[in-house]
Amino acid sequence: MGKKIAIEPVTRIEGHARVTIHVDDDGKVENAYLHIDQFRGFEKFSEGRMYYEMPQITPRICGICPVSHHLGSAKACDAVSGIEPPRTASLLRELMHMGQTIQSHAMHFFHLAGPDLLFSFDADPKIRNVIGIVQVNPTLATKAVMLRKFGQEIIKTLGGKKIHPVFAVAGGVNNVLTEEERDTILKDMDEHIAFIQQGIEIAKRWVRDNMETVETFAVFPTGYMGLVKEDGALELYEGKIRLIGPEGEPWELFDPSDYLEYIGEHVEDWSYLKFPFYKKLGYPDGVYRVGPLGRLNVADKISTPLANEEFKNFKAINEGKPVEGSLWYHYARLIETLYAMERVKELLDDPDILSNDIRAYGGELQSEGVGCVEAPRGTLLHHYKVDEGGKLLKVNLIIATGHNNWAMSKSVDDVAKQYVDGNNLTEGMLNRVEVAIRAYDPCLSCSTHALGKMPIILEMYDKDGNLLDQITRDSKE
Amino acid sequence: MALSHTIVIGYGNFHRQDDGVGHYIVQEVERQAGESIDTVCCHQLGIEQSETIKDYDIVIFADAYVGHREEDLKVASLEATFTQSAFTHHLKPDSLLALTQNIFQKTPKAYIVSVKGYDFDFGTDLSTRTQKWADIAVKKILELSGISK
Repeated sequence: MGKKIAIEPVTRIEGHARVTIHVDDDGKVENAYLHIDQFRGFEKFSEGRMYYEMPQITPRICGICPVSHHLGSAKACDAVSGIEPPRTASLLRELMHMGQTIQSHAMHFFHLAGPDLLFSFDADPKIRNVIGIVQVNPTLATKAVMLRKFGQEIIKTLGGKKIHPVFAVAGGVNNVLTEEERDTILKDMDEHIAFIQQGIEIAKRWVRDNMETVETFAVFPTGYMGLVKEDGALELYEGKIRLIGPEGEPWELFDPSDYLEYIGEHVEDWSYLKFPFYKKLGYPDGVYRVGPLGRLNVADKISTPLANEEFKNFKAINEGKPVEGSLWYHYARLIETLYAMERVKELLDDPDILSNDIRAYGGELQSEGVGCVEAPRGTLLHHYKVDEGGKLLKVNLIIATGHNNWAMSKSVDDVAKQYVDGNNLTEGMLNRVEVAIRAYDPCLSCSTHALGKMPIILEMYDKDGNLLDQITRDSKE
Repeated sequence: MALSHTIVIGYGNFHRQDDGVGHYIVQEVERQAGESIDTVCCHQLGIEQSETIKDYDIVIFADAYVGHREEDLKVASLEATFTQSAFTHHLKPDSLLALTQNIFQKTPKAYIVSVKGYDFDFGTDLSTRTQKWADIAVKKILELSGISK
């Protein structure tokens, strides 16, 4: 009889996500899956509400990327209300978005990915954590905290608070930026840029030292998707959606409001989270990845100088073709952090950002509207349909992590087959499965609208479907 | 008795009924204590809060309890102990204390005030029972802060 192993962080809500590993009688992995079990309810819960409440409602989906929902929702509301925000409002919203990107990416690298990269996948869990980083390199730890704080302070300056800000509204924003606030943000920027570059060097050094792992760990072809500017440069706030194939061949370039023509959602009976795909190729041929790896794969360049230099290094990895290895997400994430920091400086140097012209009025109500931003984890779409009074009839949210659902499950499957031996299970093997998921920086709270934690269970089954074992990662409160 | 420099951090998902009890507690503390106590409301704890709490004498965390235990209200002192999470950016309060201790060499006295939740459906109201115990929790917090006996 084969073995069943389950890793179960004890949860606030049972079964948000599970990894199941199915082994044969020899203990070899046959298949592994990432299941998302939490029911999504925000779309139904919002029906009957007024559309303009959504920029305040939808950020409550998540405590990690509330700003992404806030801004994506505001853009959908702009479309529903038929109003184009003034330029200053767009600049300010983008500034908040850059703050969000910086804090989220910095947090992921330092808190989640960093311990694996600095201590190795097999290091003792007692040191393979952020405290371990603090003890080994306290300066690095302090700078990481301050970088995250920098991003959060931008959000708080504009929106009144760091999480669930009150800022973007239909037609614009409700707060100006003062000269003093601008100068406060600009202070210490060079130090933060230097720190991000230090993080990039850490990532590059780790890749050099572990190239064999990087070239074989969760490496597989998919399509890629992300926003781009008109000239094909990386874009996180506006622009059009570009979809490319595994060889970099163009699939589509479209306005986000037309997403339903190109993106379908497949359902599997073993997960509540759907599997988005490119409609013309069907499922699973049309699966694609989003987020830092997806965005840098679809972009032709980056519009800021320091990040663009790193971007050229990124493109050289696979000679201009898409980079496939999942571990390259960490490098791509840091390049985006550098871009976001440089973009903050550009925005603050634009004199229009201090203008009082922050809101437009008087549009004609439309029956529906779509808002799209590149959240730290990937393309985020908010789609609202309303009645003639503005009450929501239907809400569709395609969450960044949802686009990566297939890829995360595929990564788990590949890594489990490569590293997990059911007869001789080690902590390092199970950590590798986690590393595969961590590369995508998933926000399952977001994609499943949970209470704010991301519980996950790893279970191992024998060939007859008998559950054999479970491992608990976190403890109940 | 001199007032300690105290901060109360209430966290949880405000739109999942009893999971928002931390927010309710913070609002009540603000109403009753005014500017005597600093407060923070957030969805979840993050590493940057180590920089926030480092200079306080007392830190009180207020949160909902999800699970099976008898007590509706539990007030306990916290030790700085780090537990790594596998995926989520979620940070437990004792882990936050450990970060504060390690990064800034500061360890404020800390408490967790947890109120048992019964209803975690979508919504912003607290269940009757959770609200009753949340009001008692506020009294406990004011005692811990030295504002009332």
